Amino acid sequence: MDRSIVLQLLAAQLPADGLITDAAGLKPYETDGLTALREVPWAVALPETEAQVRDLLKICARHDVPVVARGAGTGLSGGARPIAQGIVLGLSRMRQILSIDPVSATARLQPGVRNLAISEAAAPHGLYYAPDPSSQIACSIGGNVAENAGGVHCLKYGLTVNNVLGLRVLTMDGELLELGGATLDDPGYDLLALMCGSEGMLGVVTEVTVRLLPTPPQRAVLLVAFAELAEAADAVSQIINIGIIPAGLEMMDQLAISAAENFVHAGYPLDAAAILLCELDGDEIELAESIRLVSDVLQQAGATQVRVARDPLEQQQFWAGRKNAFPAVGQLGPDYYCMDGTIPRAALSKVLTTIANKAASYGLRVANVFHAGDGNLHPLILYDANVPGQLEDAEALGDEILRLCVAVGGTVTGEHGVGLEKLNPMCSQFSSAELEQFFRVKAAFDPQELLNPGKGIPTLQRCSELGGMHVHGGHVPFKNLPRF
Amino acid sequence: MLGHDNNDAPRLQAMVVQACAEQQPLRVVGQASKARWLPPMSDAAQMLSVSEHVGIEHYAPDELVVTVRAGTPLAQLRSVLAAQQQMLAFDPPEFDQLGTVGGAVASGLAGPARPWRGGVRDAVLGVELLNGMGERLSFGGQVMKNVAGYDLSRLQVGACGTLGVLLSVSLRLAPLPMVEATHRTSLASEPDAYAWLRRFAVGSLPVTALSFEPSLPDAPCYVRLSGPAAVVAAASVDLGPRVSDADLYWCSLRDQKHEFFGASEQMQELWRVSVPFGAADLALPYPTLVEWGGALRWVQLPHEHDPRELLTRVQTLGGHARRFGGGQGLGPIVPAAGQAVLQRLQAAFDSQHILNPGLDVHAN
Ligand SMILES: Cc1cc2nc3c(=O)[nH]c(=O)nc-3n(C[C@H](O)[C@H](O)[C@H](O)COP(=O)(O)OP(=O)(O)OC[C@H]3O[C@@H](n4cnc5c(N)ncnc54)[C@H](O)[C@@H]3O)c2cc1C
Repeated sequence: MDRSIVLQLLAAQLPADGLITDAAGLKPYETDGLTALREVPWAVALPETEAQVRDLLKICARHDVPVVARGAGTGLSGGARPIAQGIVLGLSRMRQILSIDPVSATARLQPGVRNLAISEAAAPHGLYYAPDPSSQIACSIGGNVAENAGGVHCLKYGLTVNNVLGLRVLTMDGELLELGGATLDDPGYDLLALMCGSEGMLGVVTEVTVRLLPTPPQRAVLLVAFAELAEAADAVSQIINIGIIPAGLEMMDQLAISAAENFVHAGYPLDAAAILLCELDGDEIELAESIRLVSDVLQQAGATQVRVARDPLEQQQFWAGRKNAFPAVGQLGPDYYCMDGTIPRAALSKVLTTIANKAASYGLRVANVFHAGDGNLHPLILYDANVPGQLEDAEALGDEILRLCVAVGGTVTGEHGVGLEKLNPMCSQFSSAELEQFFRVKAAFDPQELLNPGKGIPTLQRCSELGGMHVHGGHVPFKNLPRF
Repeated sequence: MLGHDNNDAPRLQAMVVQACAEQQPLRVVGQASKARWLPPMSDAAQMLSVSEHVGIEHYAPDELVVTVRAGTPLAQLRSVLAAQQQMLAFDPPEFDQLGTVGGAVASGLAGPARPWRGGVRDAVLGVELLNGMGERLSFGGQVMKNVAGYDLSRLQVGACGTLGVLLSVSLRLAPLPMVEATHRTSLASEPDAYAWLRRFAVGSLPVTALSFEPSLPDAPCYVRLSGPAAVVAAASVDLGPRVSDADLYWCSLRDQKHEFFGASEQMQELWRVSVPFGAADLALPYPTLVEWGGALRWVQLPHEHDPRELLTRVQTLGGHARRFGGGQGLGPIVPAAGQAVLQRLQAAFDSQHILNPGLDVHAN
């Protein structure tokens, strides 16, 4: 394919500064939040309207040019990493809030709207958008849909998929799919759910309708310390057993606690083996009742300390430690590698102990930050890329951790997506027939395989090459495929 | 303790494999509780009943998750959950006291709490299925957060079995509310009943069901509140008298046992109308029953009336309507876009087009 012809065709559809082709301009687009992976694309196109997106896609489809959609580039699995000889379709200029409708409590958004901007715009109506990834000041709603992003409040209020009502999506050949709307159900196949978490491989999201929720009248944040990790894990189940779903329920282990404490002075107890942060919300009566019930349970579960934040300032302070846990852990060593497995909560003690043992055998340290309510674990593996072999060790440890997650009945990625990063661990989670089913679904939307190719789903050949090492569900995978 | 248990998957798989090889159409059914809402079965189709594939494979109350075989009766699952003070948040209907877990997921229908506790899609965490080629596949899992691979489990919701025969599903559960109370009030003198409903539906009160029967003389409205006792008590001020047999009432809506649904099928057709919160009165002279705080409206349309008037009105309100019952199919009237994609998607799961052929879930 002739690069210059394609670029000319694309430029003709875009505003004067809408196509970046120079080396310096392309630089920021070489990578996403997973900065270890880089690639220079042919060009970055920055459309401003849905019609432009459609025209660009049609040109690329006609000329067999791969396309990678990109929101804010905060993804942590390489989903938005460019393809060589392909274009990046940046949606950052489509950032209008098209409408906020307080009557139906919905918002209509262009895909580049920042997550936090939605809640800011809805606030005057007493409403907000619930999913709140830690990257919310930067990440885009289109990227949230593509990754089915979660946040600390998704235990009670759900993930992106539970809060999106409608989508406009363009397939690779430029066909518009209007999915859902402002109503609560829609006839036909649930393509809306399918789009959530599809990592930009099935279509480009050009508009999102989300539901808004009334801002809770009041909140309380509890900081709870435990002398044993297992006690903290059990306490989470016990809270849920009394019938209360906290708005947020987060756990950190000792290394994460001390890192966060050094970094933001959140007031965390340094002698605790684990802390829980528990946010409750509701009106005054509900809140008082919930605090009482939850505190009782926590005391019984062996908490060594239960502190209810005195005021919004202290609430913020308690949360600041958790929300800054990644950069805080980053201070502990030159590099860290963030994992994202999900496990059934019952397996938590076992998984954390195994992780600690495995880490020790590699001579690496791991800090654990945990969306405790929903079992989503973020082990942060500390390493030094300048020490030969440490990056490889960190990756190998990460791989072992993810396979452990699968073995206990969990998954290799809870919210960060597969992208390029977790292609290998996917082989341990899915059989060849399942992977082939994924490919057939992909082909139904994108028969030419041009939209974010090579991401999300590992090829059978890749898995078979790994097959010697990985065992799926007690069986050697791909028995019938030749070994290489 | 967990009731009848039988693994019928090997037989089901063998049947699908054979049907695929012979291009034999299959009619997938649970207990056929929704049969009268589906088009009549063609003679060519062979019955594939999932009703013997029953039992609870895994129940972890602490994790708020259950994995159930598709043929398990909803009633059985409900009682097992209730014993642990838990429930299916989407509260699926049991038409004619029947209904299986697989049928509930495949039809995608949710009960009176839908706007507040979520729909079927929100509860589905994973599925095990047979695709139309007879391959036994698992997607999703037992954990709430899971973005590994495309979400092919939620895609089964509402697909009416055309994308696979469900073998088992993992569902997220909700704790039973500590206290629940339903109050009955009249909106007869309310100048704008729909605005009133909306304020309740999207306000911060602990509402979990909200219905309105404008066709009755005193235009009653039922509000269900759920939560800790003190919260429910505080919220119920000014909401009229408390209803004593409230569970019966909500089940009568959910399962279509309410008088409203009893109207003779010879005389009228039941239409299901889905509109945004706060949508105005349909302003049509037909018996209407409102659920979901205004977002769901049932309309009894006399046979001789042209449905286009209703459709136009619904579309101007930003919603959609479909005929429900009368053997006319569950399909919508409004055509979905992207027909080619939908057809390819169906073929991706069922290359020989043997799963419930003739059941078009998209078009009327
Ligand atoms: C510090 C930090 C904290 C984070 N915390 C969280 C967290 O708490 N929870 C969480 O879930 N994630 C978290 N993330 C990950 C990331 O922010 C989310 O995955 C986010 O949803 C990505 O949005 P984005 O706009 O940056 O997308 P990008 O990184 O630009 O793209 C991500 C993927 O989406 C696709 N995509 C983007 N826009 C579109 C579109 N319009 N149509 C189709 N496909 C599209 C891309 O092709 C790519 O595959 C965090 C990241 C960082 C750096």
